[in-house]
Amino acid sequence: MRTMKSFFRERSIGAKLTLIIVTVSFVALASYFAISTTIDRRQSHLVLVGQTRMLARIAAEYSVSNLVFQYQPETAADLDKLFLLPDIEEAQMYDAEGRLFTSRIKPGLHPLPCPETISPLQEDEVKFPDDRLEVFQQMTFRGKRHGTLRLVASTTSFQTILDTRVAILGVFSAIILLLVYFMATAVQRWVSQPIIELIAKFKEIANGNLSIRVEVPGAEGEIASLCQNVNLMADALENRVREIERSAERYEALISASNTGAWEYHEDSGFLWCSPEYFSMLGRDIHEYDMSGARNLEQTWTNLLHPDDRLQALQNFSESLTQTNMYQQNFRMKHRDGHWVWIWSRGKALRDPQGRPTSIVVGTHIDITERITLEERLRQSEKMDSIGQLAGGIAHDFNNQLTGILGSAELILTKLSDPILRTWVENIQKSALRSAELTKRLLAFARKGKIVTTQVNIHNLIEEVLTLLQHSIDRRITITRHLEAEPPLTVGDPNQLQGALLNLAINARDAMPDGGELSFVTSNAILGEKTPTLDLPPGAYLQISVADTGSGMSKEVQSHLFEPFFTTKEVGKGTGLGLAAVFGAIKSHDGAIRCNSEPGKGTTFRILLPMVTESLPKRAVELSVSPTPGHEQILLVDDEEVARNVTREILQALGYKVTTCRDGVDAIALFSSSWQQIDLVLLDMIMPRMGGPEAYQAMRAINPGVKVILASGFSLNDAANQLLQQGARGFIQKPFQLSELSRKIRQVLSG
Amino acid sequence: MNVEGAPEGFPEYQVKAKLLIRMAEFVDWPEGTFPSPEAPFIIAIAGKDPFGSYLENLVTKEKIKDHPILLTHFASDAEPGRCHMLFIAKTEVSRLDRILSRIDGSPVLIVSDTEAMNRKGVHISFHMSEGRMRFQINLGSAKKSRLVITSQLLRLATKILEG
Repeated sequence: MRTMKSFFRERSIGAKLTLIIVTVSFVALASYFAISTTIDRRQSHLVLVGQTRMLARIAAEYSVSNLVFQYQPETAADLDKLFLLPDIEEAQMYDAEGRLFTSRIKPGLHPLPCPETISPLQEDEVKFPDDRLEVFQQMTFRGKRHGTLRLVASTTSFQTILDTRVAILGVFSAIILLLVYFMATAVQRWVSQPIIELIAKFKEIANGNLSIRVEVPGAEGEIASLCQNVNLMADALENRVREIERSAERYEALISASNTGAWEYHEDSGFLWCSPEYFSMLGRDIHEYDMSGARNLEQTWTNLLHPDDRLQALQNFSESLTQTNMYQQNFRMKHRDGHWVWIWSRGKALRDPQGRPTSIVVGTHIDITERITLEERLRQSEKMDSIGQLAGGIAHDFNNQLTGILGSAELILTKLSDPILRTWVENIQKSALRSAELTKRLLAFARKGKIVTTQVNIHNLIEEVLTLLQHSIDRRITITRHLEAEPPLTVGDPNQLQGALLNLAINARDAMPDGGELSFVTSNAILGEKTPTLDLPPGAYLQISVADTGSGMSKEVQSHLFEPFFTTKEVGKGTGLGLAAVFGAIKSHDGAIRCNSEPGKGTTFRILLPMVTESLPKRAVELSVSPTPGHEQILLVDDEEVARNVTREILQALGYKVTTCRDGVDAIALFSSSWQQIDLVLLDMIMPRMGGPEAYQAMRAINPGVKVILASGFSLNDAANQLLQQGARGFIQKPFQLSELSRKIRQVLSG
Repeated sequence: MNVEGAPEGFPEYQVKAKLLIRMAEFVDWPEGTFPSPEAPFIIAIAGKDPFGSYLENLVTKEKIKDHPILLTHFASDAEPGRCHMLFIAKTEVSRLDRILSRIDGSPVLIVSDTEAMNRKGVHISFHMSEGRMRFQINLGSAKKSRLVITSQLLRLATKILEG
């Protein structure tokens, strides 16, 4: 049974249909055949029996008088008539005592023995001995029994008819079955042909040919509906696939346009795939890497990581994947040309339909080197600015104090004749001046010391520096120069720029205690639109390189290089202000300075300064030595008591009449009442209550022709410059020396 | 009843006696002819009895329509209708019309001994044919006498008269 089921299950629909139809037809025919044959048999039997009995009854009734009257010939003739019915073979008549009266046999048949006597009480009876029918019929008249008629009929003819019918039925059944088979085959073809075609189309679709459509046979019926639905499904599938393809194209275009590297990682199998951009941002080509999905995490990622980042990056990667399913970190990867590219790596685990994270992680790589660099520069720049402000503040206060010290020393010197005492005071003066030089550098770093603006020839400056250096430099150090910039001109303070170059040269010398090469190189540089590493506007620049072949510096040292009071020299050997001042000086000249250094290989400083082409008139810097006396009335405004007193003493010693005020408010009050008597105002810039600029404006309101010299512990800055443009006559930086102050006052009063 | 219709060597009147009794079975008398089942079936013989004691013996053994049989002699002055069957012997050829007129219309089956007496009024008359004892039937007379002669008997007759 099971094998028959599985046999049937494994057949094609067509075979099944044929089998079913033929089987059903066969069963129907066989049933009909069996039933009809049975019915026919019974019917024929009944007919034969009924007919024979009827015949017997009629014959009995008809011949009863013959029997009664013992008319044997008539009886025989009557019985012979019965053989007209072909089935009847024998006829016997028995008298009332059961004795045989007459016996007739169908002509042509062998006489068979018949009973000579029967029971006189023989009932009407039907028997079937040996396929023959035997009928006993009582012969009565008016209720009186006169004898018995026995008829024997053959069943052969009825059997022959049945056999014929069986044969005909069999032939018909065979014909019908054959017809049914042909019909079933046709039906099967009609039903299964579209299905077979469907299957073929399905195979094509499965092989990727999505444009395949099925021909719909007619508009009604299951096959048509199936075909229509298959087409609908193919449409939907095609659309879906197109959509996915478009989506993938868009995705690829996006990835490519955004220059984002994409990757996919299978945590369980180690499968890793990376997009071409992943490699191109590292200057690499995807074809150099195995993208077959093998375990190549090492090749494509780990090996390219910066050694300092590697451990942490791997740890972050595995931790964040297991803990949060979200992953994000920055690390450096090696570019083909050797530099390190900062990568912002992000990833996320894909979710299964239930929303649980799977082991598949997809993510992106974005090159953020520029951002990191800019951030670093911004941070550095902010740091420098805040340090500069701090340094400037210190320098300002310090200059005020130095004004007192220097002034006092000069006053003492005017009173002293003892040469020994004079030497001591002169020592005080020297120390104070050196201190003043330090604060000047601090101010330079703080970019508050650009005093002079003139055209500067860098090549000349370099030559002067080398002249200064040649006596203090080890003979084992070779000095080379390649001065190729043309024209080598910039605008600024030659003293500051010279100091900066000198500073760099001295540092280079100190970095080569065992000798080496110190080189100066200048060239022209044009900066385009984009200079990410230099915070400079586009334009023409002079490039000055100062390089040594000395000990070099670590990255750590380089990162603090330009900070004030940072030094690698022994305590007492360096101030830690040298490079800070260089940095400030270059910055205040709208330039930039960069340092390239590697431990053991030397250091190169590159300076960029804006280049000028047209010549500016050179401003003569007068330097007079001896103090110039005077007698005019001077109003001295300064909040620092020591400085105020010392300055007053100096001015009085020079012959001037001096009135002092401690701030702007006092000064205005005094000036408003007695401005006619005041020939000149020496005005400090920074004071409590009212500073220099406000006081100057007030004084000008009272007397527009007021002569004012500005003084400040800061160097000449924007505020002071503004006042100079508005009419202030001069600026003097604290601490000032007697000669400088007297010259300036004299200049203003006589100008 | 081991008696043939025409047994050679059998005495003629023994055969006729048997046939008489058997004939009666195939004839129907009008209803009410027998007041009770025990009422006898009366056979009258007109003329000289040719049967001798044979018929007398026979009627004691046989019954007609389940009625006992009574054998009488037909007297010309007797009440007509006192019998059911009348056998007219050869001897009464000359008196036949008288006898018949006596019966006239009564339901009495009249059987004549010979063919010569077969005329109006006689229902059945014996005669010999091909050496066998046969009989003719006058159906018209029977109808007048309100007797029904069944087809079984009619088909044994050699001749059937309608008048």
